[in-house]
Amino acid sequence: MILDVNGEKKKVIVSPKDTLLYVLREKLGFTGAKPGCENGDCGACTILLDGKPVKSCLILAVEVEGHSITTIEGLRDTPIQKAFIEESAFQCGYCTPGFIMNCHAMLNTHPDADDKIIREWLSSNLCRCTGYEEIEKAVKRAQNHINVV
Amino acid sequence: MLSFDFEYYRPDTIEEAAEIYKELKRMEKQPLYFSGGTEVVSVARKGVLKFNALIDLKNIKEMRDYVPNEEEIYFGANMTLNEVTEQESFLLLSRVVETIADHTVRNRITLGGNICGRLGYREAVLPFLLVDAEVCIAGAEGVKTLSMEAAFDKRLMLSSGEFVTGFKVRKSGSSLDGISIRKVRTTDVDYPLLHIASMKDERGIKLAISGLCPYPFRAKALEQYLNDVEGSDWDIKGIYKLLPAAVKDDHIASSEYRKTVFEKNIEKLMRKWGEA
Repeated sequence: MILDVNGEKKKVIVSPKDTLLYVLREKLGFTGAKPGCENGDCGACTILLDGKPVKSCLILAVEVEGHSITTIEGLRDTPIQKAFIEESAFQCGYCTPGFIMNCHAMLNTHPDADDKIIREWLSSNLCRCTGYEEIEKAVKRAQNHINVV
Repeated sequence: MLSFDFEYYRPDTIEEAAEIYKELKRMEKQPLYFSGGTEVVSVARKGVLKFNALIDLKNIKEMRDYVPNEEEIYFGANMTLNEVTEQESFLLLSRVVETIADHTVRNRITLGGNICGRLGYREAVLPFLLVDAEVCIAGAEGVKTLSMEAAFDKRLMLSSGEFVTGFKVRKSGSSLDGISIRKVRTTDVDYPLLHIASMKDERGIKLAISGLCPYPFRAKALEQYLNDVEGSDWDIKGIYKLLPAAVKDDHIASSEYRKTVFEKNIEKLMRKWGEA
């Protein structure tokens, strides 16, 4: 099958039992999406499917042919990436790609997201280092940047 | 990845899906219909669910449709929960489903998948139980439309080879105001200890409940009691005999804890309707 990943067509042989997370990491080398709980709880494997954040551990690769996939490798110098660095919004960094993908999608959908929307969207991701304060600051910094531009 | 092999089919029409199921059964296979897939993938990974063929219903157009018209509103069973929250024609349904799982997972969980799921919560069915909705069910004989009251008893009663294509509600019922009260043990993203969906019309208050007992239900006996008694002159401890099953007692919460949560929130609900 052919998968559209980060704007490029990737030919790959998959089995129906392969999750999208497994194919991205093990067959295509996009290791930014992380295996965490592999049960849809932690959000470390979050990618964008047609621009919407989804947990790639809960999706079979065969389901997404013909859809646009964006992984953390597909983002370059986005406001949220810069803001994560400026606010030191990570400690061990394992959850960071998932958080960034979710934040990026949220800011695309709701550039003026209020606290309620931020909390609602980001409750999809867990940080075991509990660095939530800095992540929230990073989101707000990225919002300011987007709104100034 | 999952630990066992299976075949994968992606039909474009309802008829094709039903035909594939029938053919696979004839070949003595174990087919399973598949939509958002969140529950199937997570449960199959644990080895709890076995199948050797998946029939993915996502390509079927009428199962993705949302059609509000003058008389009624049609919700395709493949609408994701986030798509359902974006519609404004049945606000209680939006309020109920926006609390299920988390935002990212709601981009995959479908309305039909939540209602037909293995977990006993099936919260999305609550508003449909309150408005005498209809459910469209497809099978080898075509699509039939049944009242939700007739089709739902603890779970949606589907025969082998059948699947849900959509739900219909009359606009007059869906436009009524509604209240959703959902209580969890710890964080917002959790299964409910209690989820009450309630509406009020000229006949009185209506209630549908999930989380309290092993399955969701329309609480008609309790409704009648609450509508008949005056003000707060009701026996809170006596309401349990009006439920269709015993209150759950499990690793999430004891039955006593659930009862306390239930009693406080029934009182809160009655106060809210009293103020309304």
